[in-house]
Amino acid sequence: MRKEALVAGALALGLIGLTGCGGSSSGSTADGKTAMTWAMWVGGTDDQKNWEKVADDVSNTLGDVKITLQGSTFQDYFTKMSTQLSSNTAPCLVSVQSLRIAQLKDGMLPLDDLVKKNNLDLSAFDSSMIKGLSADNNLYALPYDVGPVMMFYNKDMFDAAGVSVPKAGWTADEFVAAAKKLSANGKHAIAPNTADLFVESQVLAYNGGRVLKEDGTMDASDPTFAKGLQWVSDLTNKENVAPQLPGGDPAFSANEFLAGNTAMNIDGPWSLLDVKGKAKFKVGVTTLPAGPGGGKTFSAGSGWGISKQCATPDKAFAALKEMTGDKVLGDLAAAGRALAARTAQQAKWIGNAGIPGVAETLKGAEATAVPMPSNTNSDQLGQLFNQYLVKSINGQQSAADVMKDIAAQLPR
Amino acid sequence: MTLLKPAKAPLPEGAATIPPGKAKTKGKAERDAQLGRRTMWGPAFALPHGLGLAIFTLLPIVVSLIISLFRWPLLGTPSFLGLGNYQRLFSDPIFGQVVVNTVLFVVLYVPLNLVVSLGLAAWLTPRIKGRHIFRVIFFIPSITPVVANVVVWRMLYQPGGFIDGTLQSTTGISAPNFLGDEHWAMMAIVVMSVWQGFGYNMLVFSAALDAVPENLTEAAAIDGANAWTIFWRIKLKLISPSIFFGTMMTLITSFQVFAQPFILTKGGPGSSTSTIVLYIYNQGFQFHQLGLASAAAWILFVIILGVTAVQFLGQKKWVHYDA
Repeated sequence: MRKEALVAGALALGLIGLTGCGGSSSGSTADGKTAMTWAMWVGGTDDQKNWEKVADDVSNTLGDVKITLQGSTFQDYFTKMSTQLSSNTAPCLVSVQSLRIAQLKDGMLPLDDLVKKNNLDLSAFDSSMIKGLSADNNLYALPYDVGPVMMFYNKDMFDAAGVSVPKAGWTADEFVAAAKKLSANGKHAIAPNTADLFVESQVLAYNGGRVLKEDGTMDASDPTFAKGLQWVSDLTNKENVAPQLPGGDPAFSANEFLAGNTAMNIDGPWSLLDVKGKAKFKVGVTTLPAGPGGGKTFSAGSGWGISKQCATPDKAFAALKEMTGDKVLGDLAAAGRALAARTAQQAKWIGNAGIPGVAETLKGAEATAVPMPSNTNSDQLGQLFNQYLVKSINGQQSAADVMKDIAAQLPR
Repeated sequence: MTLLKPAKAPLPEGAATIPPGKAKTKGKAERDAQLGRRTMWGPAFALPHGLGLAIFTLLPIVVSLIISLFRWPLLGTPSFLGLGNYQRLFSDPIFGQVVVNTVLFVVLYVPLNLVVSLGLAAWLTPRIKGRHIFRVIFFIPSITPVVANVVVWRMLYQPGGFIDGTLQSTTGISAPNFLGDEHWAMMAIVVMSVWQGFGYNMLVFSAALDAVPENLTEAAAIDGANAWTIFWRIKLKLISPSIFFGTMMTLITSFQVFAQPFILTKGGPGSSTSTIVLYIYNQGFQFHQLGLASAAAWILFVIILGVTAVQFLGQKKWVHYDA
C-alpha cells in the first residue's frame, strides 16, 4: 500500500508542477505579432466589450502587437493579480487602482526610464493621479481615469424641502443647516458611509485630519482625524440628520440614496453616470462640505502598468502610451466610461454627464484634490473601518476610542 | 499484503475479463480471486478517487501546515518563522476574542438548533395532516443560498425594517439596532442561523422517529406509559444515534460559521461577531498573510478535532446502537 501512496503522491506533485507553469506573460501570434495579455476588472458584458474594443483598437493602431483582455470582477481582481504576480503567471499589462499601488508595486515595473526614453509628456495628465500612481518616487502606471470624491445630491428632495441646492465650496455649517431641514418624516440628509476612501475624504474636507499622511505612512491615532470622525458620527447622534448604521453593509449609504431615503451621498465620479441612470430623481453634485482647517478632498483613480515578468516591456509601453493616449481616453470620456486622466479630454465626459454642478465641482475639486496615498495596510484599515466605525457612528463609543482600538490592531 | 505491483508487472490489456474458454491458462488469477486475494483492480478503481484525495485534500493540508510555519505574504518572499505565527495568535487579544465569539456562537447555536429541529420532528408525526408539506416548508431555508437568506434577514433586522416597524406601529417602542449594536449582533446572527440551519437535522430526526418500531411504543402504551414518557424513555433512546450524528455535524459546521457574519456585520460592531473562519478569510484573502491564516486554520482544526473526539468518547454513555 505504501508504494501506491508514493506513486500517487509523485503523480500529484507532478500535476501541480505542470499547472504551475501555465500562462505566459507574452509570446507571439501566428502572424508574427507580439501577443500580450491585459488584466482588467470588468463589471459586466458591456464593460467587457468596451475594454475589448480598447484592446482591439490599440492592437490595430500599433500593428505589431496583439492585446488580449483577461477580465475578472473588481472584487476578485486584486487577489487574483497578487497571486499571479507572486507565482510568475502575471500578464504583461496590469491594471491598478491608485489606492492599491503599494500592494502591487513589488511586482510591477517602474516606468520612469520608459517615460524618458519615449518622451512621454506627463504634464498632460491630472497631476494628482501621476502622484497617486507613484510610490517611492517611481511611477508604476499611467492613469486612465481620475476622480475627486464629491457629494451627490437628490435635487428633488432639496426642492421639496425648500432648501437651495448646494454650491461648490459650501461649508460644513451650511451643510448641517441644510441637513436639518432635509431630515424629516423618516428621511435623512445623508447616510453614514464607512468605506475608507469616503469617510477619510469627509474628514479631510471637514478638518484636514488624515490617517494616511502625505508620505504614505499610516497613523490611525491621529487626534485631528478622531475629531473629524466624531463630527461625522455626531451627524447621527447629535444632529439627527443621518440614520444609524445597520451592521456592516458597504452599500448602505448608496442604497439609501438611490431609494430616495437620503438627500445626499458621498461618492466618486466613476459612479455618477450609473447613479444618474438608476435614480428616479434629478442628481446633482457638489464638493464635500468644508470645515475649518479642511476644504480638501481625496482623489482616486486607476491606471495601467507593466508587470516585471513582461518579456517585452518596450512594446508593452508602446501599448500603454496608446491606451492612455488622447484618442482612447477621449473615446472613453465621451462614452461616459471614465473621467479622463488627461485633463484635455475631461470636457467630453462633463458634456456627456449633463449633471448640474459637475463642471464647477470638478473645477473646485481639481484645485483641492490630493491623491489618497496607498499603504500596504490600506486593506486592513478598510476592513477595520467596516467593523469598528459602526460603534462610533451608532454612538456606542467615542470616535477617539474607536480609533484607538483600530490603531492597536494595525501592524506597526 | 500481497499486492501486484503495477509498475513491475503490468497485466496485458483485457486481463480483467477472463474468457471462459481460457480459464485454465489464467488459472492463477482465478485462484487468487477465489481465495479472496487482492488483484490490482481494487486499487485501480480506487485510484481516481485516491488521486483526488491526495491532490485536493491531503496535499493542501500538508502544504497549509508548512505555510503556517512561515511569514508568507501573497506577494514577496516567505521567511521561516517556526512557531511564530502560533505565538502571535495566542498572544493576540483579537484572536482570543475571535475564538470566544466562535465558542459563544457554537454554545448558543447548537442546543437551539437541536431543540428546534427535534421539537419540530417530534411534532411532525404521521398523524399530522400535510406533514410532507410542512417538512418541505421547514427544509426550504436549508436549501436556499445563505446569501439570499441574509439579505432578507437584514431587512427584518435593520432600523425601520420589519421587526422595528411592526414594534413601532403596535407598541410605539423601537426595536434595538440588532446588527449595529454589539450587544445584540451575535444573538441576531444565532437566531438567523438557527432558522437557516434546523431543516437538515429536522429531516434526519423525523426519518429516525418514523423508523422507531411501532410494537415498542405500543407495548409501552399498553403498560400505561403516556406520550411524554414514550417520547423520553423510548423514542429518544432509539433515535440517539441520529441525535449523535446531528450533534456532531452541527458542532463541526457551527465552528466553521462564516457567511452570516461576513455578510451581515463584517465581524462588527468592533470584533463582536468576528469568528475564526472570518478571521482566517480576512488574514488570508484581505491582508494576504497566508502563514497567519494557515496557523489559525490549524488551530481551528485542532479545536474541532478535540471537540469531536470528546463527543466520540462521550457517546458510549448515551448513544444506543442496538434497538
